Amino acid sequence: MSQTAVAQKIVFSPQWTPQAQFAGYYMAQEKGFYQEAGLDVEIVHPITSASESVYSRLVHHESDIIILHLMQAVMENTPQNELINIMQTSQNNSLLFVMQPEYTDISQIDHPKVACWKSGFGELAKCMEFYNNYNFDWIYFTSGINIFISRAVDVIIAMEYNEYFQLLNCGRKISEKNVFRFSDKVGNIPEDGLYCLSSVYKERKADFDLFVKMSIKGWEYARTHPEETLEVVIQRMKAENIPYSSIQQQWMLEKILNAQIDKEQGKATYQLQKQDYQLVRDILEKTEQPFYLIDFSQFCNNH
Amino acid sequence: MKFSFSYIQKSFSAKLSFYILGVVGFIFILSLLMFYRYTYREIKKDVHQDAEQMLKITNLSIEQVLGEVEKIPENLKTFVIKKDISEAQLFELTRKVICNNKNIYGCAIAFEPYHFSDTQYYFSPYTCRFSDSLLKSIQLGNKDYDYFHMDWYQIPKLLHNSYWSEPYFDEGGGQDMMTTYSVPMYDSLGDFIGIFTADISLGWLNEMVSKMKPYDSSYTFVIGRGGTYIVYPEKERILNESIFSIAKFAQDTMFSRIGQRMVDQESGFEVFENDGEKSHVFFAPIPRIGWSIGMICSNEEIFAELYNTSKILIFVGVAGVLLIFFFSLRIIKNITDPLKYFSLAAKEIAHGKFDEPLPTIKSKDEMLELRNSFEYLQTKIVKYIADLQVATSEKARIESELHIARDIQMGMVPKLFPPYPDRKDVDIFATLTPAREVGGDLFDFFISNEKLYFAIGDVSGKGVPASLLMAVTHSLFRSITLYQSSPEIINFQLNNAISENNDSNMFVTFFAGVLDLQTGILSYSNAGHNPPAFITPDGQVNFMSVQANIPIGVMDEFTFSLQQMTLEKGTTLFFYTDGVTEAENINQELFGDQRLLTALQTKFAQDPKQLISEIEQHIHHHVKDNEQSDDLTMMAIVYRGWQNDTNIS
Repeated sequence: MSQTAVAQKIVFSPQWTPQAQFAGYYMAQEKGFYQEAGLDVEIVHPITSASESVYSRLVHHESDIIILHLMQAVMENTPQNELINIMQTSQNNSLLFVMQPEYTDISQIDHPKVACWKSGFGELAKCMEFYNNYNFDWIYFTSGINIFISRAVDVIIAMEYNEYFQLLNCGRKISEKNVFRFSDKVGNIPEDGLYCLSSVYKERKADFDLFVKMSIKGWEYARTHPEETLEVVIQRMKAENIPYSSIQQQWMLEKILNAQIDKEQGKATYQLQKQDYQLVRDILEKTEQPFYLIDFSQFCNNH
Repeated sequence: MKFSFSYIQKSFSAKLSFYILGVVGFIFILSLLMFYRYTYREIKKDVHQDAEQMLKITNLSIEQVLGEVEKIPENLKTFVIKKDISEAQLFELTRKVICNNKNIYGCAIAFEPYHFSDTQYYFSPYTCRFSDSLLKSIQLGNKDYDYFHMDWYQIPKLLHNSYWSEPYFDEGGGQDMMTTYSVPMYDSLGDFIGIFTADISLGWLNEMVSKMKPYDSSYTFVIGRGGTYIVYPEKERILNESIFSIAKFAQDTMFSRIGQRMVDQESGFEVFENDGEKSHVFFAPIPRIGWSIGMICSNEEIFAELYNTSKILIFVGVAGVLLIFFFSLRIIKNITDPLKYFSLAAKEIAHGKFDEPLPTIKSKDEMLELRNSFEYLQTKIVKYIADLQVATSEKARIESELHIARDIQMGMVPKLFPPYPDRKDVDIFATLTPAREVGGDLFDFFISNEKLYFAIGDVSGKGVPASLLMAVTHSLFRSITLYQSSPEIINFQLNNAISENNDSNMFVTFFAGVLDLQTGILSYSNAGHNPPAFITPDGQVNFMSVQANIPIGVMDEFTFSLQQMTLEKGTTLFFYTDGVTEAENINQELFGDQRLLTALQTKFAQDPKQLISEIEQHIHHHVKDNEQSDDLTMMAIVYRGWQNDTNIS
């Protein structure tokens, strides 16, 4: 890329408001990695109060690259808007069910009210419901844990790196015995990955590959400079008037970086593994969920 | 005067003063502790009452504000439930709510999808304050504000109950922290139709709570249902951190416990380390909203007066105790001063100056008694010393005489060894060790007409009487052997001589022998003495066959038996007194016959001096440090036999 060339604009949308979950992209932007690569990256976060998910931004070409959970991406994939995974940050599953302190197993609750984010991420939980023949009363909410603290629901869906910290620190006597870990009980399905439309990727492969390369550089920087990264995350949260706890963001950064480590290889690979894609397909087939079946080589660009 | 440890050790007045100092100091510390404890408890009780009162009053004010707000949607929802109410009337209603209630910032009437109109998925008339005098009315719901899934709407809907939301920061016109009171609405059939809300700004809460400041550095805070800070002096923490996240970060389990009690809606207090400073936190719930209010006061400030008073008391107390110490030291010193002179006088007396003048005592107390006693002591010592001098010179004289007597006694027994250096047929060695200055053991030998006359004896008793009888016995042996060569006759005559006029009933065990040096025939007669031992040339050790008879001096005219044995060349005879076999160690074990026989089995059997030295070592080894209790006499005769001309070199 020559210095005189016009920077290529990329609109990138994480699936949530600013937080340490996206620290690597902030650092790539903050340290000028994207700029050095000739990219003009704009990070557009979704609004939690909005009814539409970040996926709708992609299909409406409002964003070029988005973050989706693997299962969400497989389920959202359609022949009309075929998705392609261009990078896989998460290698482990962080999804939890957290029950009210008096429960230690979901089967103890009759027709439980289960709080799930309206913006998604509950696909695996729904598969689990179907497979076990449970009868959940799904309550969709925007964010936070107030719906659980107020005891309006029996169970809340939570990410270990985010809501679980709040739940452990809200004085509700929550402990590990009130937790259902999907990674242990259902399958260790990776979560965050970068996706774009296949059609767009074909046109802008060079730009998107550069974006991936620089994002990896950003994540590696975050891994080696956690304190500086945390400061940047807090600045971004402040800028968007989002309540923040520096202690919680520190926890989140540690957990997110840890979730990126492939358990077999012992390092962050940033690539989707074929067996993980196969695991998702198996689960969806078993639970009779409709999805658009394509080969791994078609779904992921890292072959 | 230096108050060193050695001075205190030596000085009676200093020591006594220190004891007084200790007792007075102890009483003072005890009193101070009691005062401190009692006052601490009283202050603590007062502070707790004040804090409880303050929290109660503040809570009432908060409840009043919240209660007034709650009434509005609760009362007005009945108008909304009516089916014929128009969109304009609903907007007007929200505007009136704001206009008529200064505490309310915003009001929304949010309906379920398509409830108000078949065409409107979202319908929520909303009015809020735009500026001090302007109001803004909008339809709140749209795809970017999907209110159905928001806490203020969904939680009361699920709970079927009114609900105060957790506080949030309003980014609209309010630019302030808000909370929303949501009241669920149901139609005549009991079906849920929507939520009636009233938003209030929490600026007043911060102001009201911050007024509670009983001490300069004390501060108040409010936490929500999940422990999130709602009011706190550091703005950074508000809505960002919770009491639990802070406790987790600081790894402070006590702070976490405080948070737990507060979210559990308890009231009370706890003591904890607040940034390294011991502090009290008083807390009480705000039940209407499920929040909790806390007030932190540092112990330093709560007990400041107590600390100051205690410092003054400590200063006064220490000064008083030191003053008491100083005066007691002076007074005791004055009282006990004569002791110093008594001490000096005692030293002079010890140096022999018995007429050393004593200090004059004017008082009639124990000190005067001490002086009189000292004076009496002086007189007595003078007399005692004089008596002692007489006794000492007498003792010295006796000791001198005993020493002479010992020399005389030792001079009576042979003391030149070897006695016959020119003879090859016989060798003799003997020792006599009295237990006291003089003893009752004896031995003797001499050669006459190629016959060796010898004897060994042991007078009953010890000391001077025994030594005198020993001398007599020795002299008689020498006299009798001038004309008698048969041992039983020697014993017979010796017995008659000693028995005569034996008023003191003393006796002598005695062994007399005559060895024909040419033939080796040993003639002997025993008078109650220990059987001697003999060592054959091939090293066999045995006691001689001896008839006991009776000791010399027991009964006159007693006929002693004669015994004979022929000695082989190279035979060693060993004679001893009972001081050898009865030598005791500290366990009162005797040396005994068996040890003696064992000791005699030595390679030095042919050397009488070495033989006796060996036996002595055995005895010393057995006795060790135990005191010698009896006279110890040993005599060894080595018979090498007649060798014609070669007997005398």
